[in-house]
Amino acid sequence: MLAGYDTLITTIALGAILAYSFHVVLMAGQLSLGQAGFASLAAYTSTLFVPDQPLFGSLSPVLIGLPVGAAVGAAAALLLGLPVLRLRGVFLAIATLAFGEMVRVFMTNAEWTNGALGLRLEKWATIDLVWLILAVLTYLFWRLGPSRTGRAFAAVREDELAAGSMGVDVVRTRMTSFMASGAIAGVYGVLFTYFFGRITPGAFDFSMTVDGLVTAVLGGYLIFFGPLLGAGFLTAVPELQEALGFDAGWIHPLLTGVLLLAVVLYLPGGLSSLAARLRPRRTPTPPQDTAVDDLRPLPEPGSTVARVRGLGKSYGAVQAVRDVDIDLASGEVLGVIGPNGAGKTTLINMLTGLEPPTAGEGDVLGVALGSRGGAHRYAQAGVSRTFQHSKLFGRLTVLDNVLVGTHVVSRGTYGRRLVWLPSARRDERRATRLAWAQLRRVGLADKAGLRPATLSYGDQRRLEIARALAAHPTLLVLDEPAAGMNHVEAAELAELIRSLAEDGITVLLIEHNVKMVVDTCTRLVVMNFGEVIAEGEPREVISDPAVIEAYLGADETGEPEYA
Amino acid sequence: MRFKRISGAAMAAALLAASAACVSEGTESTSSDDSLVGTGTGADCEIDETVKVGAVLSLTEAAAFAGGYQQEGIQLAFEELNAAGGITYELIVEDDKTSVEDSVIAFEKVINRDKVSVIVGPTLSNMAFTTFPDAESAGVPALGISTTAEGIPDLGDYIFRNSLPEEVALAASIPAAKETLGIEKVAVLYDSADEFTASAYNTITDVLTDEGIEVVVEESFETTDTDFAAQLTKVKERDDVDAVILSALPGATVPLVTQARSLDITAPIIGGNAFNSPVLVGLLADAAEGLIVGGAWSAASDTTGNAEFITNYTEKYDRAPDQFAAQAYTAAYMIDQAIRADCDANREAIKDNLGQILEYDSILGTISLDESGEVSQEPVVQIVENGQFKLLEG
Repeated sequence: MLAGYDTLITTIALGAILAYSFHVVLMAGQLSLGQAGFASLAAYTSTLFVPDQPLFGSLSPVLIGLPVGAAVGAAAALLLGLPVLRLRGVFLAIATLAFGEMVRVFMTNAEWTNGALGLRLEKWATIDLVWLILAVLTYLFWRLGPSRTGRAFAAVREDELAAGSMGVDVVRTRMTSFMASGAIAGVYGVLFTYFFGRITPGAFDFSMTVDGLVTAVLGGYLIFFGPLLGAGFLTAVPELQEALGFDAGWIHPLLTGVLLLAVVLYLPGGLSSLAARLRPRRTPTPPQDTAVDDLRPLPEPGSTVARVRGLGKSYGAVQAVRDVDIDLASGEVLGVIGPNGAGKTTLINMLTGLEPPTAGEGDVLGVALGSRGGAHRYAQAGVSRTFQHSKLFGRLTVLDNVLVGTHVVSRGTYGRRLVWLPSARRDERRATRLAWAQLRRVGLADKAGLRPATLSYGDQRRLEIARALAAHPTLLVLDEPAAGMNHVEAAELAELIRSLAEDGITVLLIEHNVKMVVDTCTRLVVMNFGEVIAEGEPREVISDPAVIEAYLGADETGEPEYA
Repeated sequence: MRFKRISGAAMAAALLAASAACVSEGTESTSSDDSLVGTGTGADCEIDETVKVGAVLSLTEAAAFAGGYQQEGIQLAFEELNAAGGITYELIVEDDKTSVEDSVIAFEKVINRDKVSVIVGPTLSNMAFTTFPDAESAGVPALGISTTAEGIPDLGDYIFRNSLPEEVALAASIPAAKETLGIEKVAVLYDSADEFTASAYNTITDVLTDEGIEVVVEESFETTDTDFAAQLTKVKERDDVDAVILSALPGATVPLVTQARSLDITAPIIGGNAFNSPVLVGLLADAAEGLIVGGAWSAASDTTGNAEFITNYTEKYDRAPDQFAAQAYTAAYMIDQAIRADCDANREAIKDNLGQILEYDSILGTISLDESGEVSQEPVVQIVENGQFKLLEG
């Protein structure tokens, strides 16, 4: 039935494989366009290794070329990634694009590649083989989705800062996706070359990059079968038009372009999001029992959680924080108040590893301040935080947001999911139980299936707390959690913080709601112009005249407004 | 139960994997269809069945400048042949969008689905290197009409071309220019990123060595370049350059020649097949003056049927034909010749008889194809004067 359509069908598979090499970087939020370069390097290198006789009589010699191509692609991605992966967005796109162009020029001018004339090869890649590789890739991505690694990819894509604070090693995750992209592009290069039986540098050009990117975006990079849909769509539309009799030269590209535009405008999640929408939405069902009993115990009350001396941060001539000493003992609820710009957020950014201090020393849960590696090391040590402006993962559900929080207290499940080990399922269930427990703790259990954007402001802040709690933190850092909440919500929040402290979690709280701070904190630090101006028992501190003048303000009678 | 299901799926996947990794040594059986064999021979040949001819041309994207003329040329020819009677042709034109993938897909369509007797095209050598081996292994004769790169006929027994190879066109234009203009020292500029021009460059150096012409400047550029100041300045710095030999695609030719003229490089510019288009001359306007062009066809030639072809073409399509149109037109007549030879439109018969076309009198002049698939024809060398192609009388 399909005789005579072999090439067409293979082109769909090839297009999907190329799109997967874009899919994997887009999944992790990276706009990398070096795939044509990786594919070219891999394909040319594989021509040096692929034998010219079938293996063992009948096996395709491309089976040798595929691992070579994947290895070359991944290695090239690693080498390129070391210098360029610090770039983001369009800058990364330009740098990687330049790499692709560099490879093309190199291959055009090298002797062994026969320059622009290219090399003729046997057509060893058959339709079956290409589809088999695509099936394997699709399987890999299907299993990746609901695994710890898959969630880390999504978290990095949605918000790198928040991902790092949840213990995801952002640099490593980006590099992993970049190398995976290189490997898949390499496999594509080899298959492409041996399917068409010819290799020229010109084939791996900018238009190949555009094709791959368009297919990946059109299909959608949020769902594993996106590339398959994208490639199918882009191949089927022109064929359908032809079958319907529109074969005037310019109508093809026009109609394809219009459809593309429609998808991008009205289906930002790509075609695969449409397929997902057609399926009835399943509201996640909470497990009966949310107890997780193998979490490490929190430290004894009173033991040191953080101890820093002379902490300072300057941006050029501006001293945001200077000479701050902080001691934090387990079980404490330490409040930090002060006027806007007093350096409160800078202080906790240093304590959670988001910014290195420029002066001072100390450690938080055993991690020395200013040590290399970034926020995820602090998170792995047991520090978890929320942000002044909510940094939720917008395209993940409420439950999935919280699941990312379990990153540091879960084991990687991807490898075990690939071979269906029951222990992977057990670990995933454990993470889910942990996440549900936090949702119940903050009162969001009935909203587990929603997107964060549909939540009220107060619920968003509570969701952020739930996500931070899912990491089973020793130290929980809350940056203005009550901002924007009404009295009732703020009172509930204060109640929640007190209960966390009772559970043994140490809390560091930045807040403007003085009543709440006084109600919940065991100790209070007041900052102004980057310095600590008062410290001690909350009620005593807020009666301090210096504090009243700097921050709280006094009414005409000289009586403090609060207290 | 779960275990059973999973292991079953795994087994199936493993089996599929094992079979997918195999390469079969496909042996195409060339079946011949008696209904494609007619009665009578030569001009009297009559075949009842419609003879299908596939044409895979670049109608859109980069090479559309050629594909459009080719489509018109070949359509005109088959209309004339159908009107003449005896054999009815059905021409199936496929657009390869100037891409290798689409070209392979188009070949697959005309070979396996339309089951054509013979294929004309593709437009570019780049695609032919990939698609001709497919035609060869399917046992379908393919006749290239603009695939001038080195090595095309070597792709197989079923592969032919009626397009004068670049080396022959250039080999003719350089000595002709030497003879009429007395060239001793030349500058060679070529596109190193395109296989057609890179292959032509090899030819140029060989011919120059044979003719004892000295190369004093040699510069390369890339297909998509638009600024040639660096290369042209090197030419300008040498005041002893008698001629500039250019191997470029039309995209680069126009800016390069224009920039050369505006830099006051007055030396004649010599080029090959890619120059041979009235559109190019129109785009270049005044800068085209003095361009020397080696090619396969000239509107100025008084070959058999040429004047009639130009009149009919211009009338039908409202524009003058170029070499691409002329070669496509000729291809249809050559196929007709090959079929009428044995009055047999089967693939095998066409293959056998295409290789026997000897001194056929066409609008390109006397043209022959040999069994290896290569064309032999007397090239024409033209010079642009007052915006018109004129034969350069050597």
